[in-house]
Amino acid sequence: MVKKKPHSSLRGKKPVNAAKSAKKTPVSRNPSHITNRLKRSEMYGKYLQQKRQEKKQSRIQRVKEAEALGDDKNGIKKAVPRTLDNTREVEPTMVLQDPEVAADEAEDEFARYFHSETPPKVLVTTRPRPSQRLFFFIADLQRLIPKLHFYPRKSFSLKEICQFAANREFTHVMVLSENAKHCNGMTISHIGAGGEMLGPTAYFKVSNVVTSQNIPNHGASTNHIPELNLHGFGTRLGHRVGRLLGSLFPHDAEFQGRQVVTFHNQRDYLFVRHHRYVFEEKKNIKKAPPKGTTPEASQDEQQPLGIKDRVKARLQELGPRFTLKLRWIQSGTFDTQFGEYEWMHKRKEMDTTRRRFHL
Amino acid sequence: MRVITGDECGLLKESIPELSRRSTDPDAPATPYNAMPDVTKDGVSRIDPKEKQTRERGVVDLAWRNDAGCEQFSFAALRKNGSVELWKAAAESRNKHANYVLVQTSKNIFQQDRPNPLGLGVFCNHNRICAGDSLGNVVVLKNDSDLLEEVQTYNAYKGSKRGETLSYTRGQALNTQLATAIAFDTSHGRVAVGGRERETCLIDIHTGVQVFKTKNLPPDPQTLLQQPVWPTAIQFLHNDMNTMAVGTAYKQVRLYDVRESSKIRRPTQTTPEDLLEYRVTSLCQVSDYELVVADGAGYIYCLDLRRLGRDLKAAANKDMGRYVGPAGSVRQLKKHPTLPRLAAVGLDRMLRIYDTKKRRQLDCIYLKQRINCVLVHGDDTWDFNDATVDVVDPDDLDIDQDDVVQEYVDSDEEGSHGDDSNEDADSVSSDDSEGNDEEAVDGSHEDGGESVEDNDVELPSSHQRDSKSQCESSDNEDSESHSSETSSEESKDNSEAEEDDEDVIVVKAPKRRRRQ
Repeated sequence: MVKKKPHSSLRGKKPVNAAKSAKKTPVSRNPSHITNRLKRSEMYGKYLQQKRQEKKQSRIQRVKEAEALGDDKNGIKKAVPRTLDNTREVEPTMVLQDPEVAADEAEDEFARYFHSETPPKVLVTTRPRPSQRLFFFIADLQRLIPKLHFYPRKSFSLKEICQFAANREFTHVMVLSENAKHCNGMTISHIGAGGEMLGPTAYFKVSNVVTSQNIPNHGASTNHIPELNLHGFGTRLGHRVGRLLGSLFPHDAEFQGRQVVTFHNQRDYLFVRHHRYVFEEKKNIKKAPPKGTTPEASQDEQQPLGIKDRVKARLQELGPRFTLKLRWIQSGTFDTQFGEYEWMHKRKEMDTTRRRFHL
Repeated sequence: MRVITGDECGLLKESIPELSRRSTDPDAPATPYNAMPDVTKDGVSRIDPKEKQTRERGVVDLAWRNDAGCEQFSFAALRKNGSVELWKAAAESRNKHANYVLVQTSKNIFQQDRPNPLGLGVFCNHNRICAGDSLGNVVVLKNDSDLLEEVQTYNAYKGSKRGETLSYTRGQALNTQLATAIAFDTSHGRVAVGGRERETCLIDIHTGVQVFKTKNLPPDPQTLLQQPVWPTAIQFLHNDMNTMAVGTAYKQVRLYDVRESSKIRRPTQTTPEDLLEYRVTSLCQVSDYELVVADGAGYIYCLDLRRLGRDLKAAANKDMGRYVGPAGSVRQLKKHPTLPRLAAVGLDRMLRIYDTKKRRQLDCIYLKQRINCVLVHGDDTWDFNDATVDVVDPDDLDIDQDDVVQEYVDSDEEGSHGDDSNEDADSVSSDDSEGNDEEAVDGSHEDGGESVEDNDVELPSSHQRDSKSQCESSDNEDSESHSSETSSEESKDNSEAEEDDEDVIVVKAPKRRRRQ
């Protein structure tokens, strides 16, 4: 076959592959400004490809650097991912060791429970005609909270129940509400001994209830008073809620029982867990000296092994596991008709950004 | 502006909102309209840094003793243990915290050991200070320069013709809330007291006699049930102090005519049933016909008094404005004596200051305790570093005062320079022009004629450049390119020919206002 000759008008011009040159020019910014659909999709593909390349390059770089430094852990700069908790909006009501707040808390309704002056006595009841599953949850709650007493609701109104509870010297009233056999709400009202400091009432939304039977490898709890762990309550409102929950428990913990109840607040959700812990010694606690240092220098550098290096805590989950979310707090006892709200969650006004949390 | 707050733990604090604002960067991106403004803690100072912080000494109410606007101001504070304190202060400069001096403090003025005080009022004309507690006792003290002397104690409910004993109403529980709201009619020397299942009654402070007692609405014709009554907020409306607004815990606000000569004791106006959803905790009159109502869940509504009728079952017109902000119950609302500013204070531990005309939150200051009462000092100055608050809103302008609209000049008429004037007409008519000012039209018509002649002589491009520089010098606000172009067209025509600027009012095209 005869080779085709190029056209005479192309004489003197070198053939150029336009596609190759396009590949070489990097796409600098997101090509959303291109109005031609075909071209835009092409450029976008190139843009994504380029981004993946860059990421890969930076990862290879990091691995190389890590290898170069060897075992010296101080040199490696660990990349901290950006999370919602990291980038949380600064809340001015955060409590940062304020003497005024401390003085206020020393005097509020819950101070007596934290100083163990008054033992708490909690009454739990449900909505009228509860389902059977709720009773399992209540049985679990009785193992969670010491001094929890259950009374059937029958058909009394909540104001009456608060009155009866005050007559029998209860300090807290807890009401569980449910829908379709799942517990979905919990109202905790502090009625206080003596009726002087009629404390706040808080309503929580309850979700993800897992009774102890359904937890794999669960343990059986004992009658020992558990320790209390209130974690993540930062703002003023958080302090109030934390203190309300903490006042449900007596504060002279029996350490032989090795049980701990945790209320962990993260992003306004309160996770309630009940664990038994055990401390064990770690095996292989000797730390190898870092590379590139002489033995004498390593002897000097080696810090005394901290507790975290020697001892490890293992946990066994007991009791129920559930999540709470605060809906409102009323000052005074349960009174939706005439009550004054200390804080009420108004979603459209308060949750304007994803980075704002109230507790 | 100075604001004094008293809280539950007994601390009195003075806040100056101007000091607490962080400096806003003019180039910062505009925040969305529903973003919460910066909440700050600065600008707050304790009035008495050494006082002990206990709940027994919680401040229940504050009241001005002299005119609320002067330099040397003094106020009275009522505390939970029943003691009344008189404070004096001198404000040297606007932006500095004043020095406060405790002039006088009294012991428990009520007879009971553990009083539950409700409110405090100062009658400047009659030289009296009055305090009420939740059993209906009203204690009158003399207010002579700095002494506190008890004059008389009355019981608001015993002032009537019935016997000496206080009767409890029917009901299961003992009625311990005999008085839950108190208000002071300073011009006539009367005190209004209302309680749970007890109608509001007015007593005269000099004699202690019950002058007026309100009457409930007639029972519902269908169910024959009485309207339950529980006043939780009372306010005298200062049109003439002859109307009293009572907010009840049953989610109503009622207005009564309380003149001496009035025979009508039933409410003259009342809010319809479904309007409010929570108990009313505070009332404040903001202008002649606007009443601001705050309720127990932090909702602050602005009621138009002209629209309230007498019928409880009327259709609820929920088009009232709202002041958005508080997360918890609002304990007190106070209006600045002269400026359109409203201070709201409540259980969510924030002091909020609103602009009453636009219902916008201007400041939000975090005061660490739950606040019971607030006082607004009346000095006239108000600083705001964001110019957009008081800038003229193009929507608010008088409809006659308007953009200059070029009269359309047909291209056939003006020959070769018809293009120029056509462009002008197009660009000007593309603005949102609201109407024509006849004088302006006439003026501009002349302009159009004269400027067209000028255009014959000069080059259009240099013409534009000149006017643009002129425009820039007169234009000191930020404006977008579109509006600057159009305004330059307008000002070009006007500045060229027309001498008397009174006829021609150049208003810049409505700009997109940066909302905060």
